[in-house]
Amino acid sequence: MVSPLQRAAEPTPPREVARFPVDRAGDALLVEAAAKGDRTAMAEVWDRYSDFVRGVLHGAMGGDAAIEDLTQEVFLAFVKSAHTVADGAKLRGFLAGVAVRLAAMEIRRRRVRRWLLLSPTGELPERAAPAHDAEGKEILTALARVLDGMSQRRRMAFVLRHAQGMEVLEVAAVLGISESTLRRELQRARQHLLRAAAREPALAAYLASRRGMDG
Amino acid sequence: MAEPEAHDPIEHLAELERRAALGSSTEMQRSLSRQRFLARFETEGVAVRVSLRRWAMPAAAAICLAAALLFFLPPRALTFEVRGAELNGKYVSAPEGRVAELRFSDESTLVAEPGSRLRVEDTYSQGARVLIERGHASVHVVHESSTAWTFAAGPFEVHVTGTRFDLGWDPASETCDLSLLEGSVEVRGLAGSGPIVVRAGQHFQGDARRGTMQVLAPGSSVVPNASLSSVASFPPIPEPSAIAELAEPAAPAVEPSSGAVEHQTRRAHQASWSERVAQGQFKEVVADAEARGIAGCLSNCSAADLRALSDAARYTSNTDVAERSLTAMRQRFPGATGSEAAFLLGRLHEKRGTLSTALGFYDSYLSEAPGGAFAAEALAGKMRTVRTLQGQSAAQPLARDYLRRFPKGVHVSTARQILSEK
Repeated sequence: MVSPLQRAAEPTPPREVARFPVDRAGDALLVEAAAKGDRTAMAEVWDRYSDFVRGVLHGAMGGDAAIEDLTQEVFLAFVKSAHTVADGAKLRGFLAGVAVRLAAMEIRRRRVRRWLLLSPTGELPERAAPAHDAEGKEILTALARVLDGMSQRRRMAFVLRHAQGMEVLEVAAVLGISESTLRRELQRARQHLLRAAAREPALAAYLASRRGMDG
Repeated sequence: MAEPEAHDPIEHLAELERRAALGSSTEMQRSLSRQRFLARFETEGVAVRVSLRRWAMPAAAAICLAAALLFFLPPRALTFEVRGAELNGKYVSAPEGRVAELRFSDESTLVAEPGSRLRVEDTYSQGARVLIERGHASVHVVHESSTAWTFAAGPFEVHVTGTRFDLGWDPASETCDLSLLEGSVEVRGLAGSGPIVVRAGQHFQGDARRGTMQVLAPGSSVVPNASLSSVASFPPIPEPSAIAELAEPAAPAVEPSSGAVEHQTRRAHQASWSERVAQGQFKEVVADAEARGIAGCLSNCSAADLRALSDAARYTSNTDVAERSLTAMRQRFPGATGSEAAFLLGRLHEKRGTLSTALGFYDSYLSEAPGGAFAAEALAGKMRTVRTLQGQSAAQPLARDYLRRFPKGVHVSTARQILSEK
């Protein structure tokens, strides 16, 4: 089977060493090649988006030992359905959508476990390694508390738009809401974050220090 | 990003969340995760577009049943039992004159020779991490689609998905010996150098004190040498077969018989550089490039070949060719490949003593690929060079950042030392 990446290498003069570097291929080309089982393309998709997917999962769940496993699941979902990704240029949105859904499922599953008293917290026994820097840990713990105070949709609106830098329309599509609803959620997320951060001493001090650096 | 305003606290919180996400996994976890994913991709492959309507209902029912079971059954870490020795916490010491055997719940086994000492550091649902502290062990890892085992011997790490091998570590001479009986493994050395692929029948020797790695091919007496100190950052080997296919040139306009021979020869040549570096044939790769013309390669070779050439050149202390290859990579392949080249150039200049230039390259890498595979190493390099150029206090924020982001990194002790000094 000829992958699109190989096709891209064809129109070059004979006897020249001509290549289409995979790391410069656009997402659409990568998706097309990955759908045909091209391992290089799949590896490039991983290299390009695994940190993004981890970021989305971390935004949804906080520091959690399950994030690496869920990252695997997101990319395996892409492996299974690469041929159904109609617009390869929307690969990032596709991966974000799967990550958001898997994180929501995991959170629901833990609630059920907690309800059934299989585990007192509903969480898996392993926890991600905490930061050694005590001050940094306190700030991050405060941020986690602030994010936990928001609904999942609002939280993801903030994470996808601000932390992951996705466009408004992309985020709306991932969350399955209209643009105007997303803008309302973002506004409410902003209000909540500012109010809640002011009540967290470590976070308030951090923001004050950043203000000082900016100013 | 979302058009950050200079003083917008929301953007500062977003930045904090991004940093928290980046620091939530170690470089090693990310590397293993990538390895696991590609192994699963190879075994499971992409879904084929076929009509499954007839089976849709029963399949959906089966999936629901399986999902319901999975719902309540979290993945369980492997368990193991020890025969012939006592398990003392995580330690197993084979007594003199007797072997100790570890049997894991996935039927993988490890037999430690008499007098050997090892530690089962961690077990996961797909594998375990075992440290050979002293002596030799014969290992048989049962291959599953997502198997990911790590065996550590001194600074050398062996990554395994399924194979049989003998591994030994002598703490007195600081040497590691690895003999592959079946399958293949990846070996990484100090500071993430490697991976070097060792295949069935091959023998790997690592000497931490002399800083050398050797791979002895089956039936060959040639033992190429690699200086660890000069390649402390051997980048990941690209997928040779896939790269080779991408690198396929257009069909030559010559008559079929001679063209076919030449085509095959060129294909073998192009497919082999990464593989040959992985097998330790560093001098041969550099010689091949010189015969072909270094300048031509710098302007025409693929990213994979340039990377292989730069690795081979660094292994043979040919820093001029290494620098030229890396500079060409950086100029011709912006993106992940170019960023990796920046990191490797940083290492090269740090070793050479041109620290300001090294610092510039580390900074470039960290800004271009803040969550990249070499982020920990680049940050550590920046920490070292800043300490030398600007003093301890200037390096302390970097040391704090390193400890926060890579709490299990290999440079933790250096970072702590920087922080402890006034």
